Amino acid sequence: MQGDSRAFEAVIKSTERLVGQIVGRMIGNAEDRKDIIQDIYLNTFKHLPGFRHAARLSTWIGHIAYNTCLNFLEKRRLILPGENFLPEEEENAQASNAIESLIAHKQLTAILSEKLALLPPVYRTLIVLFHQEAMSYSEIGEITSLPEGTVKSYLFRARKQLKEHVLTAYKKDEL
Amino acid sequence: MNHHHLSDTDIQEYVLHRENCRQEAIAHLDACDLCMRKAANYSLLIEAMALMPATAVDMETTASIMARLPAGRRRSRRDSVLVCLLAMAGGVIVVPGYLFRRSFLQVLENVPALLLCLVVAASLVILLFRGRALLKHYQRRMKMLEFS
Ligand SMILES: [Zn+2]
Repeated sequence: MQGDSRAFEAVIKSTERLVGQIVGRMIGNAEDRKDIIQDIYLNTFKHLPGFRHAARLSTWIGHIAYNTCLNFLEKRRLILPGENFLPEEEENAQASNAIESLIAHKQLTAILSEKLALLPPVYRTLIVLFHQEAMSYSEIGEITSLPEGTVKSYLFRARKQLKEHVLTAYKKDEL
Repeated sequence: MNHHHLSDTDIQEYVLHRENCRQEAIAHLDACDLCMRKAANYSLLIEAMALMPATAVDMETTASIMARLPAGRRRSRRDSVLVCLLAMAGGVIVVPGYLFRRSFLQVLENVPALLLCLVVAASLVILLFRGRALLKHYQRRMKMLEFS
């Protein structure tokens, strides 16, 4: 049994970045995050014997993490990508240069992190899994139980929304 | 110049998966400054996304998860209770069995041999299945903990 515990500690170590990314992007409140992370790993430990080798362990734990967060959000009715987004602004040539200027000011990653929080939780998670964890559409599909095509189209919309938020921030700074 | 600029989806597709991009879209991008600038923006955005700091799990969380893993401790306690019960059950069967062995043998002699064989065979089959299930469970857990 002690061997199991030690091995499980290694499982936590090897997956804590992924779980942290999913929970961190989906759940806003730090106290809620701690509880959810505990639930995820306790659930993982409980269901370890049922784990099938068809999936990678990290993807499987990612799936548990995503579902636990989703259940939590569902209880609070904060769920899927909504239409709660600002009307699109026509991107003119001046605004198109905006992102480049922000990079020049070394502000882009800071602004991005801030603006990412404005996207719906599922979009945030998809962005992070694809662009930070370098996961494929099919791996993200396994974690989120979304078809690959949906993952792809949600990602397109998420990037577009994020870009518009960044450009809006840039324009406000200019005023 | 074509007045229908590319959609954001086309531009993102160009930046991320150029190999999947339509030929007309590539031709448009080569000729259109505005769309090319949008593509450049997306490239920068995507580069910056990879550089954002990751959200990390609180270090104390790992420790508190390990402290809250109840199954291990509870199960080992449950295991020792089970062993005690089995030992007691064994004692209850073996001691009187030894003391009254003659009477038992007499009873057994009166039981038809076929029935006896059936009981022994059934017990063996049950034992075999339980053993196999236990072994499989153990192997699966070991395999999984190698994080392949
Ligand atoms: Zn164009």
